[in-house]
Amino acid sequence: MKWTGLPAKIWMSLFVLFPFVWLLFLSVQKNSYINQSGPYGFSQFKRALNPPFSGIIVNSLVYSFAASVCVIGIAIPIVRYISQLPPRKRTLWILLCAIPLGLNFVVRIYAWFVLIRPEGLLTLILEYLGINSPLASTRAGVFMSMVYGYLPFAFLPLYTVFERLDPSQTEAASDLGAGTLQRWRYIILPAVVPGVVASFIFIFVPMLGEYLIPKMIGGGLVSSLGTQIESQFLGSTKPNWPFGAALSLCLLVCASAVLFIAVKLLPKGHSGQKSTWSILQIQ
Amino acid sequence: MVNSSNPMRKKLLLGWTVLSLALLYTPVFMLVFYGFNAGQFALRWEGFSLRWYAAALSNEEMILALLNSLLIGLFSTVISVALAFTYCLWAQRTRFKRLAGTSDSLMSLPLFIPEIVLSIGLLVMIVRFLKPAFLEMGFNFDSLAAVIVGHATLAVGYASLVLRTRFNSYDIQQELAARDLGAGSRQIFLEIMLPQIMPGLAAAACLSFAVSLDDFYVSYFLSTGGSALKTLPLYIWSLQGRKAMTPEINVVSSVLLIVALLFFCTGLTLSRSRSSVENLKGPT
Repeated sequence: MKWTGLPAKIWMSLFVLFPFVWLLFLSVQKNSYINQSGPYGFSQFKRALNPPFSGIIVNSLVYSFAASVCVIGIAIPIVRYISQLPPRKRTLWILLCAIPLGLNFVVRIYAWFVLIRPEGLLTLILEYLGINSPLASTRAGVFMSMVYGYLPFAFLPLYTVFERLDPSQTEAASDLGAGTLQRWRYIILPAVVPGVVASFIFIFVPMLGEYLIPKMIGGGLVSSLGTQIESQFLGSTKPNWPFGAALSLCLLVCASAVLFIAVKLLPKGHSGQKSTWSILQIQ
Repeated sequence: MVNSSNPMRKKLLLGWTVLSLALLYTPVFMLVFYGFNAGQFALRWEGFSLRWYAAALSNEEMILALLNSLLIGLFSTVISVALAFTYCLWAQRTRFKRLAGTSDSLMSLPLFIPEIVLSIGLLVMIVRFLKPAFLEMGFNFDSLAAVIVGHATLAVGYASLVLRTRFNSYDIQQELAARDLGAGSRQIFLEIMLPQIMPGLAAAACLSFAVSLDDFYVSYFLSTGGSALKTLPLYIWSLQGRKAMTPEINVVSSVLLIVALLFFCTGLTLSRSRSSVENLKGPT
């Protein structure tokens, strides 16, 4: 039994850890060929952190952040509603929330794409309401699609914390004269923060590197960190692997930084950090 | 309950929930529905027919993509479950608990890093090292093998998480008792361990398969943008990019939806042994 852990550990080191080291090595090469080694330097990073690429990185960060906040904002009332239902109804509703996770992501985004195209149903409804702006190939459309695509991922981590809320605490608070705002501020929010942070991490990190949505919805007109990385590696015109590696590392650093800040924001002393990890582990 | 005593508030919340879920499901339902369209175009309804289902069944490209997906799913599942099983066997019994903790995070790493970075890491690794190494040995390490390796790497994280929780409730006393009574390793494995671990293994296998079916990024990058090999999601991706779209794309999408959902739900049902929702999980 002593050696049985080895194959898996070797496999993961070989295919997850080692590639990172190699990406690091690749990103400090000045030339754009994969098989050439040296001369070395930070020119790829310099290029990535100057316009126009710095703008793309900042854009991706801002849009992913805003979209994550939207997703969580949409999901919280739903989860709050479900967690207050009687147990049997609860299971049914939460199942309804979980099923979209099993629907293929490409298919789901394509199905959404059909609706927001110029002749699509949603565009027609918006036109009827007097909003005459194209959604496909625009940043607004990509943003909406991000929210649509990632909404299902928010439900379960949020539900685990909302389910644990003790209704007698809010009851006591309102008996003592606390309004809705005060109940949320002092009782509900502190208790659900770990779940919110966990779902934020779940949504924000993949969103930051999202390639499929900007490419499909944006139709090549909206560039994000994901589409830039893709074109550096697979693009038909002048692929540049070392530069792509530098961009990927920037993405990784941004994701880890946000993750770090999110975990730091958790209430200390209170078991916030621990429970966020346990929620992340469960999901 | 305070909030439910306010009927207006409750109605508002219900309305919001129904609206959001409807918005989540409607596009998918419409997509499936338009697969039964009789007309030429994906977007204009011209009556009910199974014409495009028949067309899809006789479309070699689509059948090939389906077979590719199933084949890749099968192989990557076998690899990932085998790796996860042997790993959990070690992690459960090792004396070095701290080392087991670190390796746990190594195993779940694919769940936390952006998939695009993972895919690129794999791409670089395979193109730069594995391909030349295998060529030297006289094997051609093609895109199919690359995608299998990639999906297995992605799925090991999920599989080992599911199996770890299952191993936590493993009753080692039974094994010790069997050993005292003279059972051999093989007998213990077959008659004590397997029956206890079986639901976890099945759940891990289903989820691995679902992860493989669902994956876009790894297949996309390792098959160089879908040009070298098409899985079902990549085939849909390529159809979506074409100018003239027929309802065929709806049919292919429906097929993928149903196959993937089947595995996803089976995996969920099998893995939620303890509480109802604690183990609900999805491939991210």
